[in-house]
Amino acid sequence: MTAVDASEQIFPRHRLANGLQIIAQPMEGVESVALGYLIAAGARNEQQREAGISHFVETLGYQGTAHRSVQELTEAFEDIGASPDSGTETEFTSYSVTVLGRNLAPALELLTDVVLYPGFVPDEVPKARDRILQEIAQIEDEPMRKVLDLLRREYYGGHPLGNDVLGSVETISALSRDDLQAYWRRQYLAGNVVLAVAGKLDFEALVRQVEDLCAAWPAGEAASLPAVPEPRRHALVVHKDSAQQHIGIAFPGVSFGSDDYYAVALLTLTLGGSMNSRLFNEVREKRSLAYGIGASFVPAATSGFVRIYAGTVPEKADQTVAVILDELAKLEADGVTEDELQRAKTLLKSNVIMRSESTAVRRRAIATAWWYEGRVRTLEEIKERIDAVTLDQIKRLGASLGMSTRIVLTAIGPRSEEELTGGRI
Amino acid sequence: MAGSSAANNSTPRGATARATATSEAASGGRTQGRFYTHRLPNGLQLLGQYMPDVQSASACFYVNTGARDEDPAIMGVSHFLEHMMFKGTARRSYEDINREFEEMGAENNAGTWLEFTYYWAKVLNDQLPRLIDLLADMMRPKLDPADFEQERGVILEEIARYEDIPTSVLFDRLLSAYYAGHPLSHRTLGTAETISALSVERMMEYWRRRYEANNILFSIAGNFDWEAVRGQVEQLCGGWGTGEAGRSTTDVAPAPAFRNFTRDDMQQEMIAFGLRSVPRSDDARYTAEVVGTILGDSTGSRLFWGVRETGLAESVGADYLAMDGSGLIIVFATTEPGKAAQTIEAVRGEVRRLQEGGVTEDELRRAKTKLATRVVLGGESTNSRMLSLVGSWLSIGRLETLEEVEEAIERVSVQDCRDFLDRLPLPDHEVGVALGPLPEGALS
Repeated sequence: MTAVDASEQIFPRHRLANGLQIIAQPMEGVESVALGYLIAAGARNEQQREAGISHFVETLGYQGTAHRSVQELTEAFEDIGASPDSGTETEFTSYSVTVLGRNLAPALELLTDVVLYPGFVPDEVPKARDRILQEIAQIEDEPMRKVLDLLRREYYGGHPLGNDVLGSVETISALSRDDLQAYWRRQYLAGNVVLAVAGKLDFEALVRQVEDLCAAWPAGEAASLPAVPEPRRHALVVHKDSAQQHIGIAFPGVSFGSDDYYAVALLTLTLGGSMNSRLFNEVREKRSLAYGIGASFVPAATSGFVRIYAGTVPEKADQTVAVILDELAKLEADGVTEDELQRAKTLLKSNVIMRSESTAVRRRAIATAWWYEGRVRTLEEIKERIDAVTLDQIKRLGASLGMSTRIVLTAIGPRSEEELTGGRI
Repeated sequence: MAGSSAANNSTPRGATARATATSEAASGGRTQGRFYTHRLPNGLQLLGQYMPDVQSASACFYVNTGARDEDPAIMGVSHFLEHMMFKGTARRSYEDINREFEEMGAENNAGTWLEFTYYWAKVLNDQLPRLIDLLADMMRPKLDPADFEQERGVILEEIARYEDIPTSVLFDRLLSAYYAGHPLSHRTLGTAETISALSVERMMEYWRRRYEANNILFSIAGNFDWEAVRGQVEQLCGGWGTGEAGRSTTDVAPAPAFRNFTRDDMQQEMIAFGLRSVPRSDDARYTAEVVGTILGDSTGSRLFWGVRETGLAESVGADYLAMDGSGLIIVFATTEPGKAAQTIEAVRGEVRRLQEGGVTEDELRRAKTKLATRVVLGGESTNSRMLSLVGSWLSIGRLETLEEVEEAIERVSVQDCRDFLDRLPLPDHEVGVALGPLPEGALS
């Protein structure tokens, strides 16, 4: 009980009658405040024929509201020195901004206008469509981004979590203004919304303003997702005459909120999360096979995976893949050493604390924690959870995640699948 | 390691390399933000800002050396050297260095650009003594020939990597065109040829000449004890030698030109312009920031309305790049090939309109509000403060408080912008390049 009380003091929260949730973290010694809405309108919420629609709606977000033209909206943000941001991800769309504390109220009013009263200005729709089609083309010019998009899609094998955020030329070209509005009505429901605010703020005043601005927001929640299928061991290699071979490898991790969350985070750090990690040492330091090499943990609501990226000249690509697969086999068989685990814990704890100093990062952290777990842990609690991870836990995970059996590889570049994998995947 | 892109927000923009003026006097009385400066007898300059509300500190050694300071035959040596600094010292192997950073829980990296190389880390403040010991030791590298051969392969990988990042290729092409024949046309990574031909002896010679104490700054921001930091740096670095590193800082004034480069495998056409502006130490540097913001900020700028919102380009923007003895406003746009010619015309049209009509009171006020807000937001990050200290020291020979910077931005008037445009008319030295599928000459 005491932990919950402490958490409520540090992270005050409030739920509106319509289901909209507010989570906040007042911070001392800062002049700024970061605020943002997370809305359950991500690529995973899309039907096949509407692929990319969440991002399409987001692209229109700052292009005018029911109350303000694009010109008025842009200038209103500029008048409070704000450069608002937005982004669409697999599981949500976010709209956020960081301003000086004294501008919190006008910033909140503007951001709410954007998410709750979108204009879908008829002139802006074709312009947004055109911009998105250009973005889709742009990704093709950046193989190191493209290869990771492919990896997600292949890993989730047709499940909505593998959907491309941008959609395709076909779907984007076909979506109408009516489709966008219908999607907005379906997903932008109060029960799907978390407002997170961190920095210089007065929580009581914040709640009053949100009650005022958002009381009329229609209630409702998004449909839940189908179960995530088992990843199928396979490779997908796309030919391109690029300077490097870009390689992505994924194997199963765990979801947000899992008891093994920090164990997977620590395992990933040891594998490829620092300049002293196994992959960095084996691939780069010892063999000079690649410049870019590393691993990261990509958790989601109900599942998650660990992702490895390597970029290497084609002549060294086959060996690079072989070295990575060898390292995965070792990790699967033997886990990590006591020494590695201690170092990874120190690094992870230190990163968690140091990143907590920025209001924008805190805003994002409490928003995602609340979103995925319905709770926010204090730094002390997070440190305890990290410290509680044991060698045995990691060894058990290493053996059970499926680093050899449920592994997916994608690559873009001059090498063929046979050359790259030598039949090992 | 080693971001070489100037578009990278974490790089300190426009650090200049005037041999650092002098000392304690510059800090005189500016205790409001608790600023500290100290200069060792050998010339090493120490800068600090105490931030009481954080638990961490960011520290760096910042060397006034980069690709512009290289003999073209050894182009890329600064960046290659930056990698070698992580490979071991008389006291530490590379395993020791990487392990120690990790044991401290440090966030750390290094970066090389045309006119600087820096090595930074952020740690919780109880790790500071250990961090300073490690960073200072790294500045005296072993440069072992076997490690050198090994790392050459990684550098060649990095060169190949940047070939697959169109913005980086475009930026290189722009600077080569704008600064043709000038050291600022050098590529930070070098080329496969220069890197393959480089010897460890040449690197050692370069290190000796450029890493003298009076060509280096130590900067720290966050929660620390200045007396302890100063004492430790003095003890560790007091024996470093003094030299005559220097640098040529002539500026260029190119004639307008445009050239497009073909990359068959690309789908989008990327465009960049360099417009002549003032160097970092110029009195009009804040006016240049304001004009750059009015022309090309990510929202609400002339280019935003005239090029992006009209549906021509997917993205467009402008940035003021302040360097030692030279300055540029860089304009960039990405569009589909069919709209490239129109986009270029629209960009030129906006530049001309700004040149002829100047700025309005309204847009000036909004640009200043945005810039002032960014100054305050940046002031909350230890990394950003650490680099700002270096930037202001190298630009004007003293440290500026956030309030001073805000006031300087606030003072910029419509007339200042007019004077600035008259002094260096934007279209007079407009050099442009494009990269994409269009055939050579298609946009000339």
